[in-house]
Amino acid sequence: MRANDIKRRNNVTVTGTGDRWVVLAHGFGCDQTMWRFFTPYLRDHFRLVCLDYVGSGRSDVTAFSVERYGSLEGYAQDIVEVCDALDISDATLIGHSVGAMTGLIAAISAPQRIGKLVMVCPSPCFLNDPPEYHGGFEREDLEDLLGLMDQNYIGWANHLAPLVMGSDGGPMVAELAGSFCSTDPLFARTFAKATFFSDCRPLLGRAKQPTLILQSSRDALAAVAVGRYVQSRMSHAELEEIEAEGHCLHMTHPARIAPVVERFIAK
Amino acid sequence: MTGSAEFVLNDLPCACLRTSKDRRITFANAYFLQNYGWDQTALAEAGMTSLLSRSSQIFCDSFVYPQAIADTVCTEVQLTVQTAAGERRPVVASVRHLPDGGFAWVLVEAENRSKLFQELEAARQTLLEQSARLKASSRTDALTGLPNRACIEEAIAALPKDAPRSLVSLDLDGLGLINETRGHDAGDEAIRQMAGVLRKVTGPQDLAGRLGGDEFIVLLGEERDETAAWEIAADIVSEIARAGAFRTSLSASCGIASSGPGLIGHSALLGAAQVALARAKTAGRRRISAYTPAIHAEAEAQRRMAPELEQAIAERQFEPYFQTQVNAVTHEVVGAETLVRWNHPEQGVLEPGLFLPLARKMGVISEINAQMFEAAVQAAERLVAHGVSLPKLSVNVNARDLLNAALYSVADARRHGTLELGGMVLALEILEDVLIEEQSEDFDDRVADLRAMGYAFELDDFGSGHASVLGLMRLKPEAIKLDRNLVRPMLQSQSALGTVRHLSDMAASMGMAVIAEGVETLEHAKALRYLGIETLQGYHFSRPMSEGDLLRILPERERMVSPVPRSRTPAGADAEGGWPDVRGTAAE
Repeated sequence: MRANDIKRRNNVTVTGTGDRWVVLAHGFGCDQTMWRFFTPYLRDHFRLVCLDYVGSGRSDVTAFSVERYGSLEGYAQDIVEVCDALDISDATLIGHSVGAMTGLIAAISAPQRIGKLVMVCPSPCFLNDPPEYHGGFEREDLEDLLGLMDQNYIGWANHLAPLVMGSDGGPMVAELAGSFCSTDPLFARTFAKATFFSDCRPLLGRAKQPTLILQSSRDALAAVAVGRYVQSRMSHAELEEIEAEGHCLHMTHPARIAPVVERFIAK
Repeated sequence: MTGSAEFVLNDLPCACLRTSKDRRITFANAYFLQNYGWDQTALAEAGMTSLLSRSSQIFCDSFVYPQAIADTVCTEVQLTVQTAAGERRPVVASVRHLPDGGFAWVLVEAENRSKLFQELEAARQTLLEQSARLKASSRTDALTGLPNRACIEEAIAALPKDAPRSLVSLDLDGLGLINETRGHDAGDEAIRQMAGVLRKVTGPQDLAGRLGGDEFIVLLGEERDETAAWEIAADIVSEIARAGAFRTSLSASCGIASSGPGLIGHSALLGAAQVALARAKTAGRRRISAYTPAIHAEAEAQRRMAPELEQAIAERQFEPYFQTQVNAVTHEVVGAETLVRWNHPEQGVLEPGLFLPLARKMGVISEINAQMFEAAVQAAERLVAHGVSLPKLSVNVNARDLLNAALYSVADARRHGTLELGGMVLALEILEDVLIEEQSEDFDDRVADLRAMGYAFELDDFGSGHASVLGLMRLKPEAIKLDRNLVRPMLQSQSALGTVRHLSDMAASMGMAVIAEGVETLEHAKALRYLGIETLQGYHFSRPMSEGDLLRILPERERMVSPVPRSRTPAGADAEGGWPDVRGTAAE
């Protein structure tokens, strides 16, 4: 794929001025527009790259494949390919929630492109793995979540397409899914599975980049203990706990975290 | 407007909540308090998060809150709310993000909607299962339970492009016989036994299937090369020979093809294996044959040649060549055989060995023979007009082509004097691809008719192939042509020499002349003359030549020699040789 095709595929937008690159990787259920509360604080100092993973936002959904995007590596590959397309080097990658993990995978595979990592409300694994690890959820909770997504119409296309097809997929699924009112369901379900059933804990130690973890003090999705776990397993990670409710610090507390991020990048 | 805002909120038939930035519940309307069993104090302590099921918490944090913050509202999402008693209630929620960072919630009961969804879910599950069953049956052969043709073709089409794969194509040699002699149930049983053999000899990574009829296929798994294919094929051939009740009559033949870089592509795999299988069957039962580059080149050449051959027939691109036949003693020309040449528009003059086998496969031999007959007669007319002498001209005819109208019209034309061939005898050289003795009665009538019209008969390739003594007795040809494969080794091989002598004696006793083909040396010519064979044909005397060359070498009619000795009458032959008169008894 040529650079322009990649940029179009991932709906890449480049804003801001500065010598250094910052790449922003969104989380599950979101797209790059969720960064708009945060980017105003950074755009005078850095060149900001926002992208939508294939299947999210305004990406080119024809590039979607369940095989590639059924695991987080596929989303990480999107990030690396965007960095390649822009020929970015030594960027800071800011990832929210599961975006912190796709960013981690991208950083491991392309260390020359990504020099630093900022993780906003990261969780390497949502499942509990007692006694040592408390991701916060039992498997039933997460299965229940997929059920809930189905109930919210998400996944209906996914449900019906194989029936009408009488086969396991292929171009007709895409065609059929596209005829539903929203193309999101198939992609959302695939992303949800990759997000909530992946275990990235073994990867934490493999990234050598300096890392900043921004941890919300009350986060139902990623508890403080999870943030601390991430820090303990990474080689160069610092953790900043933000007094806040919720899982979206970049949306609810952008002014609070922006200076922390700026200082970290400047270091 | 009457009543306060609070009254209206408490009057609404849905739950209304307001939460603060830190997700504490700062307001709940009467409907919520009554229907969800919470009191104000307990609610104040619980907070919004504990009202939601775990999955709804995740859903809110990853979708609803960000959506509401980004777009101010997030509408129509289904969530599960817990009552004070811990009971789970499905609700449809709409959420508004407030300027102070808090949220306003409307929760509407969604019990029925949720039940409907579950019913849909159950119906979907049933449909999925049915669809899976249908899919399985549309991809499975009912008789054997093996994957069917559609399934196999799909599997081949889905092969990764560059990975080499091998395929064994096979069929049962004796199935037709079993069906005929023991009935179709027995035939079905034989097919099931074949399936059993395939299951036994293939590995878990191989795909064995039935294409239909007695055709089966094994697509070998990855990393299994052609050697493995040969092993499987050998196992199949030996296993089926030992299988069950059909030991004596059932056997298998296999064709192997491999795809991959530098070889054929996957799409050609099935066709190639079947070409190899056809070759194996031609070679005899219980054979294994592989598709090689040489076979590929040949198949490709045939594929290219087939339409050209059709065009050649349409445009009459065939030309008669002639090989002379000489008197064994005087070496004078006593006749000629017409041989076909194809004036190929690009490749020049092609010999029959290059296109007749394909023509035979395409079923166009009769067409070519008919054109050659007409061309040969026209050439003969020109030779006669030039005043040269050719006592006899032979043309090739299939036993089944004796009704060719041209044979009759040429005879008529000669009788009426519109076609002048002098005294030239036209001899029909019978090429057999069917047995003469298996022809119906009208064959005899046609032979008699044509003989009465002045045609002579010669039986080609005697001593090999289909030409048999029974056929000989029925046709009673004026001459037999000794096969070149008998003539050529006669100087080295006593048995070949003996056979030539005996056939010659037998022909003489039946009143038939003998023409020896393939006479390539002077020694052969001498030996044949010594054996009393009258007429010789072969490279020692002349190669096949064009009409123009033939005209140059033929003598003028004044020096005309006597025509090839007409054979003695069949009745005379019977009398002289003591052979029974089969012509009279054949009809019984």
